Amino acid sequence: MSANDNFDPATPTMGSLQPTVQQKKMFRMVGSLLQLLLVALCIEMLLGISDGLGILLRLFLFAVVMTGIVVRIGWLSLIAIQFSLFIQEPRRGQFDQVPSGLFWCIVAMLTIVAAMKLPHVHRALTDTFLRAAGMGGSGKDSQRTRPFAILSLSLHALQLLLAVVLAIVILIKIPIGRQSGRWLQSSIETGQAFWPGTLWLVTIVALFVLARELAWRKIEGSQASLYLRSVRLIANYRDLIRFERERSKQNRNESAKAQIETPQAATRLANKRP
Amino acid sequence: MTFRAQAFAIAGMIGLCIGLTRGQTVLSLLSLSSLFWLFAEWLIFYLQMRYQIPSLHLERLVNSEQDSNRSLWAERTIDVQIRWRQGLRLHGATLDVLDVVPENLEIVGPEINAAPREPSRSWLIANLLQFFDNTDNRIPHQRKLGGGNSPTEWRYHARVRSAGNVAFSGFRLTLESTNGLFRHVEFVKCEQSFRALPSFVDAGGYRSLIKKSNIIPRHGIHRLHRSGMGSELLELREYMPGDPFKSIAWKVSAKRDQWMTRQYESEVPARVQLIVDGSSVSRVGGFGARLLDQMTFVAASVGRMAINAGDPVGGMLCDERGVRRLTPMSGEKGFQIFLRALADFSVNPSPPPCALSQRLIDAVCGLLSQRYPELLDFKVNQVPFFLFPILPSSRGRRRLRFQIAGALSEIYGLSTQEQVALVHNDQAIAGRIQDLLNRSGIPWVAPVVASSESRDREPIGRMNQLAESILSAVGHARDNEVIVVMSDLLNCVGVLEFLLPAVKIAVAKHHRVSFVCPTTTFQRPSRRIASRFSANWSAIDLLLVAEQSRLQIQAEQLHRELQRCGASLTLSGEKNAICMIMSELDLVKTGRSRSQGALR
Repeated sequence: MSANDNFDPATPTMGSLQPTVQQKKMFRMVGSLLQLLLVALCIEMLLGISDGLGILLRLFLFAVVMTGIVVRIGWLSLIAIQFSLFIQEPRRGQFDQVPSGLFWCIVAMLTIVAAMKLPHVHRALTDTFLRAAGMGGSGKDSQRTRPFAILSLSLHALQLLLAVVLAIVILIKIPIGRQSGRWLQSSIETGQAFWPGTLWLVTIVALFVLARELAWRKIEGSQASLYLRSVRLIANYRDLIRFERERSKQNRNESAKAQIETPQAATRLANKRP
Repeated sequence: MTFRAQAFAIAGMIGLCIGLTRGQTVLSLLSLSSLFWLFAEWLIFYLQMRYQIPSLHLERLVNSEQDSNRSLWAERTIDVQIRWRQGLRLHGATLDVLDVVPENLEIVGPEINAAPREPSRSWLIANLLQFFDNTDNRIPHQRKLGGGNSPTEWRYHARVRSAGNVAFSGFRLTLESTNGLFRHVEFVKCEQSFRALPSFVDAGGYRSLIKKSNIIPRHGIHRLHRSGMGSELLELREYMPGDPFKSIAWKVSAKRDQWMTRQYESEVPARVQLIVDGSSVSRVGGFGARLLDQMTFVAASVGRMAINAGDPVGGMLCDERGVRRLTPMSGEKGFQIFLRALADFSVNPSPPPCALSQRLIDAVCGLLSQRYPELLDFKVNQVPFFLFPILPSSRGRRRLRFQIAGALSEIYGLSTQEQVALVHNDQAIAGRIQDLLNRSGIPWVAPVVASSESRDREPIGRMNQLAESILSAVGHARDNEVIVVMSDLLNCVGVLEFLLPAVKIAVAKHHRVSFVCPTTTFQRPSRRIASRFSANWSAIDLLLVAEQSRLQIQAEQLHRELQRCGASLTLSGEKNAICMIMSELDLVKTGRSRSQGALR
């Protein structure tokens, strides 16, 4: 019996240091578990702002956020975190101290966004983990996709940061809560009683109108034709429906008349025959 | 905007309102950030939708050809190759391309790895398992067009189910943001239509009665025109019952102490007239499972064998639209013309009208959302206000009816008055829906046609048309031809008296008349199946046996009636039917009176 007779392709030999499929699968699973652990730590940090939450409620919220992450339902995680904040956060009403919550907000948003982009983030992180463990990427072309993945993740992070910063700016600028009293006092002193929130409202409305306009301009020829058709139908619906009812009534009468006449004609013909 | 995005936006707005009202800084900040992030996602998605989809160029090659004039063959596998080119590639959204495969094609190949969802597995567990195993289970005619390194083509294999038409309509593009918040569906037209020729089989056992080469030169230019009894000796063979006595080779028989017969060359080709009944009864069913498919298969096989043996093949193609006569043709070119005529005949005409049903509406909704998704958009396909009905489900149905009417009006270019008629007249909308489904290549199954269409509504009219076709074939025939009638006669035993006089006339004119009667079970009815009854049989098995028993009784009656007129009958469109027709042809050519025991 030669040595090759006992050769098992699944078992790595001393000569080849390439990882086997089973090894890769195992490492991938370990990577996934580590990611889940990291996410769990983040959630624990988000939910544990203060001791306002009872242990049962905390566990429940933790389970909800985790479920939202695993099944890729971002809004579920958002609602759970919002609920946690609703209970735990003190009602200070000082929105000028918003930047203090920047880090916390970014972590929360990152968790939610990561939950919504789960497959991509999961794949990217697993690939990184495999590479760090010396197993290579998950696919043949992982080296080529790496720059795209890094670019994509960077753009997402930038987008997230911009959203948070914009939110902070708006919350600081608009006089709401306890700031409104101060703003009123200062505006009376300066003689300008124009609430700056109006500007933001107008901006939002303008953006909304712009978005609608962009969406409207994208429609195709057939859609435009259908739109005109439906508008015409709506404008003349009452008249058209009356015509249609009249016509169907007329058709019914005619068919009934024809049914009455046909047996008579048949009888007449039968009578004529010898 | 998907439900996820709507829920996300609502959660963000509620959180913002509560946070501002209660003065909770972080709650307000988180909620407002989430709203801004959502808006930024929408903006990015809109840019992708606006610029990425129009820059996509897709083309389809069928069997490495783009030309629609080429023909495909039924029951053969075709290779479909999709090439794509994208001018602009933006990252952050996935673009799924689905080649909308016509109903006449069946996807085949080992690459079908779309695992069916296990019913016992809960939704949460399935998602958890998917988290650990990110395998991409996709159907072969669907691909996700990704980043710069993804291949620019893919291919899949499909089998043509039946003869007729294979019409590719286009691609369904689904652009979805990676987080599933926004989705845009678009249908890109890429129409290609191929004629699918019927398949055929060489049943064997039939050969030409003309020598391929003759070392003795022929005398003169005139031949003895007598069917199967030519002047040229083909071979000597053993005597078989039915052989004419005058062809017995007496000397050879005496030498061998065995009856021997002289087999002469056939100098007059025996023509075959194939009468194919394509009435609506024979067209009901999925592609490949129609009675008509069995008939075209037999007709093409008979045509192939007869033309191979040098016998011309003609035919009559009759259905509700009328009768089309095919003049007898021979040679390879003639065979191609014959096949093309059969293929065109196999394309379903307008279906018989049926009543409007919820299934019909569901079917057209599915079709419209797949091929005309832009016409179902509430923004452009607006619905007038109506007070009644009040119930939400009824209101929803009415709104849907308005939308379908609008989309149909746009597709068919109807006037506004006709659009209103579609909303209020069930018959009108049912007719349009049927036509649209039929034009889109949907087979004649419920709800495109009523399930009662599988039963013959006008058997007498059909028998009269067949009788006229037989008489027309007799009128155009020379002596000793084989007339093969392919029709579903099993349910018409009671009205055979309308057909039998024509059969008698054909037989009296020295033609041989054969009937091929396809069965719905694709099997020859037999009582042997019922005798093997077992307690383990399922309800479907029992139904099949019951159907077989019913067919057997009807087949016996039919066989008796036709035999009385001198016609032969075979059931089901299988190889035996082809053998029977060829044996009839053999009889005509050899001048014998009985067949050599072909299975009927």
